[in-house]
Amino acid sequence: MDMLLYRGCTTPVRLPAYEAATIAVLEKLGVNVIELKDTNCCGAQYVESMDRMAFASMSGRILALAEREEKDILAICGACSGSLKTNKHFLDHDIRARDEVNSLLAEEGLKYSGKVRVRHLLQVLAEDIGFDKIERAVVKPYNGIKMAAHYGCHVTRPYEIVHVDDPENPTILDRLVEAVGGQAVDYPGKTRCCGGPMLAMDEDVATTIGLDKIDNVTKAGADGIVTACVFCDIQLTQVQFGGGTSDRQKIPVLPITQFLGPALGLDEDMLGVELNKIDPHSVIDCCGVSQ
Amino acid sequence: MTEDSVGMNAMESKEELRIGVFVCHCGHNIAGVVDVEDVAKTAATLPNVVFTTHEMFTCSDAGQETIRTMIHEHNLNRVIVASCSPRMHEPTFRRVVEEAGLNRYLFEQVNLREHVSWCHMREPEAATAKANDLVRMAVARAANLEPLPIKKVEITPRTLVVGGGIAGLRAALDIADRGFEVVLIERERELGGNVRKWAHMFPGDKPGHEVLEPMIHRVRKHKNIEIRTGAVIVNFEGYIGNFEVEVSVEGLKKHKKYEVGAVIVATGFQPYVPVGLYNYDKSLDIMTLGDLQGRPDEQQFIRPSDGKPVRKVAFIGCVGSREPGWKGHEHCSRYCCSALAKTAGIMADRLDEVVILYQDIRTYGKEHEDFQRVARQKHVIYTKYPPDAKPEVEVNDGKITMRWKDVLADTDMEFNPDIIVLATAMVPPEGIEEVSHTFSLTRSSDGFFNPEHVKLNPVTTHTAGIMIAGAAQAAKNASESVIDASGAAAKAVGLMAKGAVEIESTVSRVIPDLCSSCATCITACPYGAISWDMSRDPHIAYVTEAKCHGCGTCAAACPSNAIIMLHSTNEQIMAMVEAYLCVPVATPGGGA
Amino acid sequence: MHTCTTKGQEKSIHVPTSAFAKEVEKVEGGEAINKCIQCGICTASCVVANATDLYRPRRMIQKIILGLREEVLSSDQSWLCLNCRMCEERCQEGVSPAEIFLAVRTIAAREGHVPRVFKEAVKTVLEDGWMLKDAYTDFQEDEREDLGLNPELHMNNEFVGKLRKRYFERKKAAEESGS
Repeated sequence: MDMLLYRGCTTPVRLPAYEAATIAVLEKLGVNVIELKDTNCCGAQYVESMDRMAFASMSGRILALAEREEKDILAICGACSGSLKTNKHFLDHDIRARDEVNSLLAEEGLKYSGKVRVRHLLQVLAEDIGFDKIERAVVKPYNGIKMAAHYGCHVTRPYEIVHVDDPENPTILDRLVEAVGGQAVDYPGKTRCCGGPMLAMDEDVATTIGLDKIDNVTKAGADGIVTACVFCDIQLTQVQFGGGTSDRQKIPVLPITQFLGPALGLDEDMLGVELNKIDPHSVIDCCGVSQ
Repeated sequence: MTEDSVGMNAMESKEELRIGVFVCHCGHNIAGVVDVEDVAKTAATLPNVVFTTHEMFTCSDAGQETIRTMIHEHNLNRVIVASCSPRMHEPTFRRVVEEAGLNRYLFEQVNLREHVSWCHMREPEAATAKANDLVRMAVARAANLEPLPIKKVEITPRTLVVGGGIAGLRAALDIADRGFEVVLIERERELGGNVRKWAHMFPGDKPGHEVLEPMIHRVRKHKNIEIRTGAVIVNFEGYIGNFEVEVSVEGLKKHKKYEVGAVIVATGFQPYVPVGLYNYDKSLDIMTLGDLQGRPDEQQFIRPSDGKPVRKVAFIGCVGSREPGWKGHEHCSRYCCSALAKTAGIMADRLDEVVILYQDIRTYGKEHEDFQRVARQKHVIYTKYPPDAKPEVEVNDGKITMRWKDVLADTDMEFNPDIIVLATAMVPPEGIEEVSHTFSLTRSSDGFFNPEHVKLNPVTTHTAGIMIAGAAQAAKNASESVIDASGAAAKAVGLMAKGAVEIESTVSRVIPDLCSSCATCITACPYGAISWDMSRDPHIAYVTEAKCHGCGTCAAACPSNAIIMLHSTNEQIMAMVEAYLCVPVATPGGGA
Repeated sequence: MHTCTTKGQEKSIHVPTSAFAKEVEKVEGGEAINKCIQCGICTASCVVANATDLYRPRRMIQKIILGLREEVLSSDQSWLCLNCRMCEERCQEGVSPAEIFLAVRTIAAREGHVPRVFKEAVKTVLEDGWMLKDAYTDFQEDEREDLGLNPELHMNNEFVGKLRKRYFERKKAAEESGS
């Protein structure tokens, strides 16, 4: 199957490893990932807070671009996924808004009519590919290494709009971990925010929230964290370097595809492993090792 | 009263005593602690015991059959079951022995469960010893038991309903529709009570008098209902099934007298008048919810003081309710949160601002939350004030100023409403002390009447034959009062339909020759069951058995020892004491 | 609102009005403002409320209901929501405090009350079409090439120009004239 990759602003610049690992893993599993060109920011958080129609227009344009290519969108950032889905929902139900956005898009020959779907990476892995196929593709299973799943907020909430997993008890990441031979670890506050969006307004609060999560994960005995959103990945990595953290054992944070890659036989180089701020070798070296 | 002498013929006074003792395992409940086999064996050595056994579950069909069979096989004339509490199965076993031809008062139950195995769980030896003691005492008592006649009283097929409010009206109709007569008395001139006066009811939208209209119409037309308005009770006496009431009716020279079998007290409530609170008495524009509801619709939007239109309204909840330490005002009045939400929602359409100041929001009932939602949708502002810092109200030249702290926004607020409406407490009506005295009803700390049991018997009272219904029992809304009324009516109809009711024979009795006419027992009786027997000279005390609950207060109080308690006579009790203190030698012929 | 001085302390006292809630109700996202029954589950679920005493979603909603317009619009409070939607997921009455605060932000933005960091981020997006043009240096380009990714990011910056004209020039004018 073909999917249009919408990268957003942050992944290509701050976490290219996530982009590379995702493309490599999806191609291995039979998904053809096509770059969506000429895009813009989805409008999350900042434009979103200033003007509703401007926000709808920014996301609407991306949806219209995909519609022109007649392919579904793959979003790998939680915030982008949330913006695109929220605005799709808005434009699908509000004719006046839709007309207004289309009037702005008309000049470029673009139109939004709601024909394409927005899929977050987790939906593609769990539904379009399926756990069975992933399990069968494993060549070097992990040895039961304990991984804590962090889903982030916009991937699973609000359920009525995004329709990905159970918002209070999500399991997709956990099942992916187990599919490649890892052991999924449960921990308190699993569905809580990482604190990332707060960095702009109050860094201290953002750090408190992020470290709270790291504490819970550590106490639960996890060897690493898997993520499904670029902001979460960066935040959970970054908080482990802040003030007062020097005596902590740093726990590796890996985007899910970077964790799956080695088990599927993919080379480290394709997954951008050296770019991780916290060396993930303690995790990925465990694949292909007997228990 | 009629007497039924079941089992009386089977007993001749000098007949040989043949006691049977049935010891129950109650599964593991008793046998897990008490050595029941030992108890049965020991009982066999006691005087007059001709049969003992132990059963797994004596109350089961099999166990009951065993009792019946053994009574016949061994010609038993006294039966003891050592098992659970009599509160559990005394009626069951009494029925069983009666079916086998024995008078029910020749049966005795020993409590080896609640009084032995369940409270001495970790001391099996001491528990068994106690069980043996209790059985020995019961055997001694059984030897002194006498059969007692089963008495029934007839029920007059007419009910007195006191109070013509919504509860009284409902009860009257329910009873009359089933073919029984009703006398409905109401002290005001009009029927309808408090509901009649209210403009906005809930959950429906009709005003009170419209809700009542069809009921009042039916009550007036009903051939089984006699209505007396402007009526006051001047005398009431009697006992269940046989009450006599004397009523003085406005406009009639002679008092009316009625004989009734049951009474339903539905005297309702009065709204508390909050004098001294929130400047209620200082301004006509500060009124109660009842005051507001009593005004015709259009008038509700006009300031009483100067006739100007009302644009802004403030409601305050919990006025005179939920005040710890203020007797009679500690209870929640239940109706108010829902009434406020409904009223505010209705008025909001025509007002600029509606504010409800609350301590809590208790919109508990079916659809009541929706009133709150509707009110909020119409932009009624709910604001929570702290119970220890109530809103302050000032009135200056007709202008009302309110100040309070909104707890949830942590902000000090000030408001100038055109009127303030206070949701005041439901309190007992004027004259409730007389009513409680007339019907021998007790009241709880909120001032309303006590039911017999708040969960298991919520409409009957400790006075047999007298029921309570509606707000007379506790603060509640009109729908709930109607539920009570139908329940009380069902109780009354149940009595009247049976036609007669058995009364317990375990009552007190005055020995005429010993009575010194001191009246101590008359004063002491909590149920008003003792009165003068005027046919004797000097008068002596006389117990109305139908009213007696067998509590024993009179017997204990009597200085002349002139009162005996049937089924708890001095001989029966002393026999138990002696048996406890002196273990008898095992008697020949007393073994099974 | 007016202030009064008691015992030398300035206390601000507010008059309740439904006007602000009526205004919020008409803005996209604020429709459910009057459904809130102040149960508190949003605040109990909020990670920000857990991390700082400054932020309480329930309290903010009550302030909106009470009509404290100036206080709410000029404070940082509505900008402290990090939009994680936990409150929306948990609210039993169908209220999304996150959506309501977004609606409040758009009203605040119209009147020029925007935190500096948001202003700057929006300015960047409206000029470049995305957030990180300045952060995308040669270094990052090389990283991408090493990974086999396209170093050309192909971001469009013309469309946002239209949006700026249509939706933001008016705001800017309002800001500059101080209205």
